[in-house]
Amino acid sequence: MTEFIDALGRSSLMQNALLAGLLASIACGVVGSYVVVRRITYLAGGIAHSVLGGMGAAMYLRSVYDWQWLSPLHGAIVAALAAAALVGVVSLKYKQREDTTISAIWAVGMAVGVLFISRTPGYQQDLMSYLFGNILMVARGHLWLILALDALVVVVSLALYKHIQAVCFDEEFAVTRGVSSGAFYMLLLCLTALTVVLLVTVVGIVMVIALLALPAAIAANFARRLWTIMLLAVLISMTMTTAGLAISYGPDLPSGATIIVLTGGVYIVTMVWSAWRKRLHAKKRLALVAQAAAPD
Amino acid sequence: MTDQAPVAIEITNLQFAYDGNVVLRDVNLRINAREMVSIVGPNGGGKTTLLKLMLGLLEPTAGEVRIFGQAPADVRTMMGYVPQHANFDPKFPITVRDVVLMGRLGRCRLLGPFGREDRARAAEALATVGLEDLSNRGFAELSGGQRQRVLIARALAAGPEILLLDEPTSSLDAAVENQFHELLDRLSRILTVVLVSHDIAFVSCGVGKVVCVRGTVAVHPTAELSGELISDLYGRDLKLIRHDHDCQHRGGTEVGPSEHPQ
Repeated sequence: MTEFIDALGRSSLMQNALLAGLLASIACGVVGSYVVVRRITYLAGGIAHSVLGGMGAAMYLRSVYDWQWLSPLHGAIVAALAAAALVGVVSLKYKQREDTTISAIWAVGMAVGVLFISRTPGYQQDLMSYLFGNILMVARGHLWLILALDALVVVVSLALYKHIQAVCFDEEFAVTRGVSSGAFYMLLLCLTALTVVLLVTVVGIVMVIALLALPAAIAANFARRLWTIMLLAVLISMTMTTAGLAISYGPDLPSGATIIVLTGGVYIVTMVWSAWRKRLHAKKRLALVAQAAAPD
Repeated sequence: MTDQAPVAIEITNLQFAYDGNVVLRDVNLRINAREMVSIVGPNGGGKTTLLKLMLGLLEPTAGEVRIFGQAPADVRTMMGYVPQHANFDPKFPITVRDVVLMGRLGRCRLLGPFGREDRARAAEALATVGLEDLSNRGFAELSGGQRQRVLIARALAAGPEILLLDEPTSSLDAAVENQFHELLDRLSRILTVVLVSHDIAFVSCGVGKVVCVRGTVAVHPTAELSGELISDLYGRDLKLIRHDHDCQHRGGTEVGPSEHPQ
């Protein structure tokens, strides 16, 4: 642990990594909570994987046409938003085929990415870092982009909290109140897409979905309202990314995988604890009933 | 339109088809303001569809629906919709107060949290249904009857002119159902109330007319309800159960001007 704090003082890479994790956690907690209560984690998984297509295309264009200003992060943003729009349209218009479409976007997005990367000279090694994340690769310039995305996602999802909550809870009623449920659903998908991009920089494409869903799922065991779940999920996500980074530093473990295993472990512990607490509660009530029913 | 009471809901020559199947045809219906109307009929007969057409959630294939003379989509905020309480995700983290506040959407400001006025109206609505003590409770923790009342409060929070309820008494026990009649009876003095029920026994004495839906509609004053009519509607003989509720008889054969104080 002292090694980690030491490195934090010396290395700007380490500082960037910590900052990226903390920033992404804010969007992760807020949007992840919407995703969990609206039950669209599978959809978010599809968007996350399709991001590889955009990243691969961006790398290809950058290398072949020498567009130095283009970074994989730009490609990721475009691909995520396109995937969100596609899934949104299909889900609003043809409800019964939604899962098939998500699976298709999931796999085709990845396939496109693999093809582009295979045609990009000298970049093959980077494939692993996109899939499994390398938070130490976040450059200072990217940090500004992450900050801007984060601010956008958080401000929009908090400013329209009451509408998004209503659409998640009861779409039909929201329509009768003059709220355009379809538009807000699309907005939620776009916010999810941007959050996914933020998290890809932290834990990589394959593991995004765990970091998006688990902090909110853990928080849901302790809170009864959506905004308290959001607040808790942000704190949990910040703790997990920071702790994962610290633990992985010493033995030089992959940071993304460490963060996910840590979060998954906490999730299992809270689930078991919550189930145990419920059983205890039920037993106590049974005992009370038995006591009341017993003759004096 | 020479009637004294304004027409709240008017449906003319309406037809509705879903995926090529005609669900409703030749529907003509007129509901006056501050009238309590019960929509009954067998499952799949088109009751809920009719309700959703009134709300503008569905568009008629032919014919038209007018709410106070306007298209439903334009006057949605005048209508309070109470969906079936069993249709909700039991794990959704939300308190009773927050559910009721949803009724203020469309009347509140767009950005940021609900304002003071919204909170006051929500608290008022919750008091109307007698659940002001439960405002901090989780919606999922409530019983079916309590949840149904919360959903009514949500509809009332907007200050609607018309209250539309979908199967409000499904899975409620008799005692709770009685409370329910009293509540609806009170509300029908100030609002137009339309309620859908698959259960013909749920026609309280406050109901002025019964709309029977089975592909098309037939409108009957409550006093005309007979065994023959019911077997006609459901396609078989049903035992007619008489319900006696502790409320004043306000329904009757007359379908016309509202008799309640304006």
